Amino acid sequence: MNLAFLQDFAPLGVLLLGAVACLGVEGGIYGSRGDRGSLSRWIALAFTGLAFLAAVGFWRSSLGPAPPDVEHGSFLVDRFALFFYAAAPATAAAILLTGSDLEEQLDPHRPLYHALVLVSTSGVMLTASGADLLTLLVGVATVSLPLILGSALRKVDPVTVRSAARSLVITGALLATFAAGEAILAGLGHATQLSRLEALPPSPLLGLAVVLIAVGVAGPLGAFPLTWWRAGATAAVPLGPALAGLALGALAAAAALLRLLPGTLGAAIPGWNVGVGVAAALTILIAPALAWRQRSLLAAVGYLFVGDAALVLVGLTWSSRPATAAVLYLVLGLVPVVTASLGLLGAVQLSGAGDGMVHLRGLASRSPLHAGLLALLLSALAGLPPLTGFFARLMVVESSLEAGLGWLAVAVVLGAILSAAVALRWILVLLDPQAEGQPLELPSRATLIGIGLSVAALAGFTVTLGPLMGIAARAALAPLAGP
Amino acid sequence: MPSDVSLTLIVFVPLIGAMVIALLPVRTDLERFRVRTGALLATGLPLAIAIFDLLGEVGNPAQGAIAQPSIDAPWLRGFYFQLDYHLGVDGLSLMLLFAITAVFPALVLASWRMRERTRSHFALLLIAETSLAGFFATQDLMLLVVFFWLPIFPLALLVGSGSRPGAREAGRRLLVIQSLGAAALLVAALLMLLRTGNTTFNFVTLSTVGPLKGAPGLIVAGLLLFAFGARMAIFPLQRWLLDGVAAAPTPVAMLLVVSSLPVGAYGLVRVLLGMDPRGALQLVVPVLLLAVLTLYWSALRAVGERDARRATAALLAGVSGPVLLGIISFSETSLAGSLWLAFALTFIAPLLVLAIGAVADRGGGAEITSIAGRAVGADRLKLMFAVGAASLGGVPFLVGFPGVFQVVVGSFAEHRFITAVVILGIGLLAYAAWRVGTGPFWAPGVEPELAEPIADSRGSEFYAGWWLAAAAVVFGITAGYFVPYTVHGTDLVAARVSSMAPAKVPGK
Repeated sequence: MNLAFLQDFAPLGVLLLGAVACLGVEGGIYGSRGDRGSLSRWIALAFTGLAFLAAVGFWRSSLGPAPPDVEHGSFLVDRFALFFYAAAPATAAAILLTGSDLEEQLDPHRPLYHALVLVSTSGVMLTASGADLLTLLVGVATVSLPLILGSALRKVDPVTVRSAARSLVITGALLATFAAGEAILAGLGHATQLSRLEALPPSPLLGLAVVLIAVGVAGPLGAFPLTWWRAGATAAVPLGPALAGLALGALAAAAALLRLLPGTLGAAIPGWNVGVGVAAALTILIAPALAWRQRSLLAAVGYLFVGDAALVLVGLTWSSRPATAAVLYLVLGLVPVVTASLGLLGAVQLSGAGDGMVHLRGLASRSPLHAGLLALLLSALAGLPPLTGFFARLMVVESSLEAGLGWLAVAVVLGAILSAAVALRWILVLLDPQAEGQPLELPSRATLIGIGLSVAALAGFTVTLGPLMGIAARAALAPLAGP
Repeated sequence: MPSDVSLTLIVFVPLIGAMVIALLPVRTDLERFRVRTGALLATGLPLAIAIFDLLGEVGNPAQGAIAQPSIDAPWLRGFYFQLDYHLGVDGLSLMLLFAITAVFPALVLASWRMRERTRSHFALLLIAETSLAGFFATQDLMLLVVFFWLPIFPLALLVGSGSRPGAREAGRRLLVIQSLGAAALLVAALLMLLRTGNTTFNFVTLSTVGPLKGAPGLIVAGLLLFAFGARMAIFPLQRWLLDGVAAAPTPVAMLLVVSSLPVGAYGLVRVLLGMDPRGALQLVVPVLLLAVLTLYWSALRAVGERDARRATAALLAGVSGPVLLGIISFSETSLAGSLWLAFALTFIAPLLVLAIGAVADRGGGAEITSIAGRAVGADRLKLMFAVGAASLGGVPFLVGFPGVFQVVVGSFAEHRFITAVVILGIGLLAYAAWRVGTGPFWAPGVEPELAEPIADSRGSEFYAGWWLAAAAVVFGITAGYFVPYTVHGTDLVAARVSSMAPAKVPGK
């Protein structure tokens, strides 16, 4: 029996095996009661490491004059998918490390949470490999639903459970919106395979389908009209699942939208890019404005992230290799920022200090390490040079100009100014003369390692901008050619 | 050593030093000593490379064209625009880059006795050196924007974490003003790229292909003037510098003045004149006005100021007046003079701040009346102040003289009246310096034996002052050797501006 096809599923399979192992810990098959959380975290980290190595090996073997794309029905392994195969386990590892302090809120179900993170990560891979409308829908659902379940694990807190239930309803509605958009596409093309939808002519119905898809996929990240809901939901649920939802959700949204829009419907771009641009512009302008009103840094960071994630939509408005590569780079830069910032803020909350302006005033003189890291991460979220967000913004501005959407470029610049103002305001709070208060405790070693690695990744992505864009450009070839 | 390696080392060795220092423990005196020694090594190595490798490779400008070491490696290719890791030195930047490497060991020595936050202080100081060296060494506009932006947070943190009243307010003000300036520079760079149709931020390309015209040129020029003018502390953007120098610890105040005027002056010559000459030509009258206002406002402020530190900062901000005049006169000589003044100020400014700061630190306050006559016996501090003030006033054989001389000579043909006004202003500035110094050091009307004496400079502080004063004297005496480097760089800029200027009709 030829089992060679199994290697094509290796990274995904490794993650699912890891999830099963974590469930074994949850069920008490192995590990004593006291250290189950820690044990399952290390198991999950080991499996994400294996999946990452498998994906990198796969990527290296794919380099050549003709990319050896592998197709199994509606499941496609090409360079585009392999990019996410490597990025998703790395993101999961960052989530598990930076969020390790926050997992205490989920006791005694930490192993279950780790299993859900791994399942969600495999959902990113499934989405990136989707060659069919149905696969994409299943992939997106596999990313979002497990983490909503994870956010309800803190059952002792009724507010959290209510918030998780609300998130479940909203996510369900968004999945239905996504499915409705896909249904219109399937009806227009008389097929569900992406390869058979490439030649759709521009039409109002196509525009509606694309807007529904964009809202359905990017809605969980706070794209208009869900901008008001996202940051509130982040602040209401346990931070561990929240940061996992944002980081993995960003990857999945980018994968699905790139596959579907420039990758499949690129030829019909005049029919839909204005609608996507409008949703992006509204989000980019509203999110930092809402961030400005926040008195809690966590909520402000949530809204800044929403504004950054909306840049993905801007990158979609021009169907080209550079634009797609820019979106991939943007998402790659966003992941370490959101994991490090939410991990750090969670650690601040756990140390007994609040994350409000009153609590963080003058932090620079009490806890310079915390203040320095927060200032750095806020600068990255606001896209200040020389960090990754700055170059990503530059590139998506160029994309919108190339697409002939000058107003969108103006919106991105205005959004950047607003975001910078928010970041500056909070940095000034950290430097405030009122220096009274106790120094903050350092996070645990695992969280510190996670934050350190995320910050190093942030710096590394800046220094290796050229090589990373080269990788992203190679990965971007596939969706533009169509699966 | 290959020039690409040496330039990279000059820029990034301090950053590596900062990272190492950030990881060192500082619990005991020995561990703090290790941090200080590490910082000295991290600043000493770039200086050694600059002296023995860079200057050696460039050669003597008096013997003809000088070599221009550089490294140009692609950073981002195959996209809408190109980014390059492009470092290099030419006549415009060589002396300023050298000055930055030379002044930082003195800043480390001046910080030697700091007991609080030793690790963060030296780490941030080294990050500031990387950003300043990178600013002068880069040949790519986007890298220049990055290096212009980079020192803002370290400086704001260093100023804001001081213990004097108003320190955090000064840190916040610095952060806001300089961030706005950096944002203006970024917008100007992007507008320049979009309006000229270029795809690269390379200096040479931006200086030669598709110059900006009309309203876009004027807008870009205005943004650049704001960005670099804010860094130079021109009128009316001076308060951040005055408050910063007054509120920060003396070594931080020294760093603050080093990273202000030289950066702004170089930026105006390199970017405004080099890449947007038509825009600069449209700004002649406002800049002349700003030059005069900056000089007189600062000098009068220094005369009337009761706080010696603020008065010193005002004195230094006043030098931006002659520098602006030299830049906007567009002649080869005046431009060289402006750059030389920026070079000279890299040594003079920290020297003056060190002398006054030491007196104020040991005198228990910077009020001129409270320290009057108390440093009469502090001969070393007195000498440091005298060398600095005399250099500032353009006394021959000191480092400031060639700059003042060239600015005056180079500007006189183009703007006779304004040059005469500026000469008077320089006189007023010299009077202000005399007033600031006579209080603590010579004390007219105060009986020396009645004033509680202030201890003279010694140890690391003395070595720092000695180093800076020696540089002021050595570069003053050997100016004939070094000035041609800057002249070598400004001739191209002056020729480019004059080629864009509308032709003058004889007799009109």
